Amino acid sequence: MTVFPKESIRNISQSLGIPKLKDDVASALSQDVEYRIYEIIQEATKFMRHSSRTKLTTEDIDYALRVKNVEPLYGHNSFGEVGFKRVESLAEELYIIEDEELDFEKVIKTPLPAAPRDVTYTVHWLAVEGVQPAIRQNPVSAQTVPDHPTKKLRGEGGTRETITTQSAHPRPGEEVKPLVKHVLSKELQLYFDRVTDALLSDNDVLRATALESLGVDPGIHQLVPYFTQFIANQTTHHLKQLRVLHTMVLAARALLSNPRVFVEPYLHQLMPALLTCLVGKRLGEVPSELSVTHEPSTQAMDIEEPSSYVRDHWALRDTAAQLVARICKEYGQAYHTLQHRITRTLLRAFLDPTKPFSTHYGAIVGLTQLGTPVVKLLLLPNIKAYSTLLSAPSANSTVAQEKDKCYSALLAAVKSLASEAGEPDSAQGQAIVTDGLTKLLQKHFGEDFTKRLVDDPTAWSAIPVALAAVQAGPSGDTATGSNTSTEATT
Amino acid sequence: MGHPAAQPSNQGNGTEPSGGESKAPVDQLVLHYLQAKGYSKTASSLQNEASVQSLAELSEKFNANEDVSLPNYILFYNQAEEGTPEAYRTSYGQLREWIERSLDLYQPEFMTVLYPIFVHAYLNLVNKQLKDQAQTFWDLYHEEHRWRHPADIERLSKIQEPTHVTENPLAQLFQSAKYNIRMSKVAFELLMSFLQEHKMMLLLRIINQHLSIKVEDQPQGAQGDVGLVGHSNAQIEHTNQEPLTLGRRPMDSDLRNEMEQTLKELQHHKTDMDIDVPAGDLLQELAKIKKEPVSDAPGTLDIPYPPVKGVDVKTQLQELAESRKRVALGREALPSVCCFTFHNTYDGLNCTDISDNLELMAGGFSESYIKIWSLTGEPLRGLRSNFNPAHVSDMNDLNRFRERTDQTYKKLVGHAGPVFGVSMSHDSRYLVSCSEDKTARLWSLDTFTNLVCYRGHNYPIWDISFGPYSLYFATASHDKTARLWSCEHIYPLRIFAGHLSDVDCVRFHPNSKYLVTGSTDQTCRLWDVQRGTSVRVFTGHTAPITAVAISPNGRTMASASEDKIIHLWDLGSGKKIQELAGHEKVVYSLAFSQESTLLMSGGADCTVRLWDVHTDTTRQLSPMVHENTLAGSTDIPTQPSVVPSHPVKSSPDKPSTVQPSESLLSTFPTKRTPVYQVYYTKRNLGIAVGAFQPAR
Repeated sequence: MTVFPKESIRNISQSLGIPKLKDDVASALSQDVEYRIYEIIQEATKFMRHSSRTKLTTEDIDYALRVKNVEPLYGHNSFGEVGFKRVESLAEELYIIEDEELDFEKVIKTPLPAAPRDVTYTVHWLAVEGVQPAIRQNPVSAQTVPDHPTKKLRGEGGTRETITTQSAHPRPGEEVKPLVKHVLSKELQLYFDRVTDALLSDNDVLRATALESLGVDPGIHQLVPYFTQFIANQTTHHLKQLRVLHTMVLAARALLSNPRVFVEPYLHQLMPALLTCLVGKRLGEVPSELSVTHEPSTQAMDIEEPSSYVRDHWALRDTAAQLVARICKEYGQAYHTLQHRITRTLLRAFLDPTKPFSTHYGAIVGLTQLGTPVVKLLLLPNIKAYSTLLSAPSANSTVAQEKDKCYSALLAAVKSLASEAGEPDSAQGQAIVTDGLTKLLQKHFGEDFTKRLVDDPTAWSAIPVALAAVQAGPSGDTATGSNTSTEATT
Repeated sequence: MGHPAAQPSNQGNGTEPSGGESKAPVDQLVLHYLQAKGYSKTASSLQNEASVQSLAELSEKFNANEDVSLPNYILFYNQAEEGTPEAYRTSYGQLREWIERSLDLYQPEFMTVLYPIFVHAYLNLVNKQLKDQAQTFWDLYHEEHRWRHPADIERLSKIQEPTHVTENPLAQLFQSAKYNIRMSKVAFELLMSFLQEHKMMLLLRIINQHLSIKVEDQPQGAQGDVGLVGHSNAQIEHTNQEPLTLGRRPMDSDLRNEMEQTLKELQHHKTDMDIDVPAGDLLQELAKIKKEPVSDAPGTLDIPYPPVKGVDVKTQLQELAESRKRVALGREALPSVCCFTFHNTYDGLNCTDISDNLELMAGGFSESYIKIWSLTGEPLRGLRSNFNPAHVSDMNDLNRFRERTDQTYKKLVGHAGPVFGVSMSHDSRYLVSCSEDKTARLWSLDTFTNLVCYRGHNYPIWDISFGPYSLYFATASHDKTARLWSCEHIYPLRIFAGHLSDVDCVRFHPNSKYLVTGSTDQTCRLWDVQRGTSVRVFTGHTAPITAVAISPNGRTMASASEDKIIHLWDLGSGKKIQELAGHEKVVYSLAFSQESTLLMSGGADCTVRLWDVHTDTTRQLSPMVHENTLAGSTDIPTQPSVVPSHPVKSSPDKPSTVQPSESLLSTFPTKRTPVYQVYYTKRNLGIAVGAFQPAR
């Protein structure tokens, strides 16, 4: 328990002229000294507390000594650190307080230090009707930090949507008072303006740089709500401009892939924009003007040159589909209703015959990207009914093209089964395409689709898996099939 | 004779001999003891007399004047235990083990007994100068008491010599005062039979000498008057049942008539007065106050006050007008808080106060001066020192002798030590201050001079507070007393003695009939001003009290202690209503809103917090429900709307274990400003005052 060593007592006694202090005397003294020191500190802390301080000063000790009727120790102050110096010459450890010699002349000649500034006060609002205003005098409150771990996607909805920035288009007549304000530094605001300008510019290099910055920059955390808002706004306002839509999808992808940004609370703002890009009715100028030279590619991920397919809304849908699937995969664990909701939206788009084929295409691609279970459960049972819609005579060449696209998408969906099943041996598949099998396929998938399936040798390997899936599932009319399978996915 | 164990034999020797059947073995024991101690003469004389008062009689006698229901087997001297100094350790260890293995139901009760036994066992060992035994005993067992009694353990740990025991105030308290404990009957009997069975006479003696156990049919848990209070349980219970008159002081009928008269004149534009509320409304308000039932109001003569003056009518009317502009506050309607931040104080600012009309602010500094700031921007002008009072006939004359300065602040110099408390009168014309120099001073805020110096305390004065009508003020001092003063007398009118340690804070009850004090002895007390006696004792804090406040309706009290927890008390019953946890450092100040629905607190953790005050009286009337609320407020439904809007910051470097109470409505952090004072204006505007602490 003793913290005050008896060696110290002995040293002090030596300095007072008692050369040899007995051991037991020293230890008894040290214990008593420790107790007295403790008493004084106890008393001094009372003075500290009543001075509204949390740091003990030498003055407190002095007052405590006065209360105890002991003469205070003069000549100590609380300013600066007390330097203890070790005495080197002695064998035992001995420390003394550094007491440097001052040249009197020098002390007199040095100019007086500046007088301390006078006590002043400032006034500010700490709270206005229970809400702390975000002014300079108040600290950035814990709630405005977006990545608070307890925040749930659901709970965010109310507050986030009211946040507007100067640069994001404030809708006229919608002056919503933000509940919580962000404090954004000038630099961040500037950065936001620059990046959004670059994203909307025609300069491909500039745009690519902006996207790259979004993808890797660690410091843009605070801007995430504004970027998501920006993406959502741009998507809804520029449905006709494929270029903008495409950039926005890429921007969303960049944000998602940025490892230092926490997008989770803002997914609810991103998702509608992405789904629009996926199953939108009319994306781009006029569909007829579009060239169909671009092959539908499910491997669009690695295309880094956005300008090459910017005129093609099919490609846009492909990219969006990948992104949606990726979000489902990454955040599906945290929000287990997420995939369910997206699947339902897509399925509804797919099964609605009044929707244009472009929407159908988007839905098919999106479902395909969500994984083989979804394809097996939701796509395959519906193919037959859907082919009847496709096989209806088309009015013009554009529609025919669109139908073609849909067929390809379905084919790709079926093919994805093969890659999942891991059956690369196409020769084996070729061998089993027999008349009987064709009949079976026709029964389940309809004639047109079977024809395309059989014609495409690369798809053969998927046929057994597809057949097995569709036979295992409930056959019959598509309506009940889709219903049960929807339930299955939930 | 230093050995307490010798007591029975000594007593036995002294008293008149009497015959008895059971005396033979007892005599034998005493003889043994005397021989072992080497008192051969006494032993032989005992042998000669051979007739000693029997133990049974003795213990009966002992029991008669004791409120403890200890059975008659106490004070039995055990030879074996005396022989070994290890006895304390072994028997304490056995008791501990037994408690650990006992039923969960009784464990908390046993644990409260264990702590005083531990302390006394240690003190006894130290007193016997068995240093090593004391040391090992301490090392073995002190940790388990640390979480409950951190301050005490810290203080006791330094005691190593018998002289320390006699000097240490805490040890003295333990030895002189009884430690209060409440136990259920079953638990008490279990404990007694265990101790008896194992012949742990040392521990039994401790229990008998130093503990006051109140045996109840229903276990109350660890709540209530447990611990060292300076009174036994029974006394406290008795005190806390004393009837109180907590109601509002009825308005003087003359004053009210005057006010009505003035208002009626005002209605007919006969007089001029700057009140911006229609006089008719105020008349209605006045009539409402008149009609208000005065259930337990103190009599007008309880506290003498000077007769009403003309100026009082005006201030009362203004107050009435102000109260009409009050914002209703509650769970759903939180107040606005205005923060005054001081800069460049260099840790020198100790205390602040703000005047009721929000025109002046006062700060007391370590450098012995007080500074007054004008919040309205009006320059503060004192009087010049060189004028002839004979030339002054009225106020205008006097104003001509004012200083020609545009300074909006004024320094008041007079104290000779750090100023620990300042308090402004309610008419904002006077200021009282207290200091380390053992004096309290009255200052005029018109001339900015020191009017009176009040001497009486013998030790530094920690706190000072003006009463509701600004005639009386109270001080709290290091000398363990609080005192009541009138501005007109230089000697204290009442001395409130009873706290066992420093009195740290003092506040008046709104009807001026009572005072509440908080002390370093971890209790709060309510004092009757007229009688000068303690009428309520509030125990339950585990650290020195740092702040107290009474609600404007006079029913609820809040106290904060160094353990960072705020307790809410019902004054009428003396029972605890709620414990409010959430602050991460010491709480410096507490304030109730005008309707007594919200509590605001400010502290060293640089936050202002708002708490919901449940004063559901039905809840505390029945003890069962009361206990439920204490157990963890499980019966209060959680509404999503009342979730604290600012969750307690859990910074990664300092994981905070404080789980904020449900009553915490809101937290407003400041940047780096510890909040020294919180205050509600008459209109329910929150004010927070603090000194900015620059980062080093």
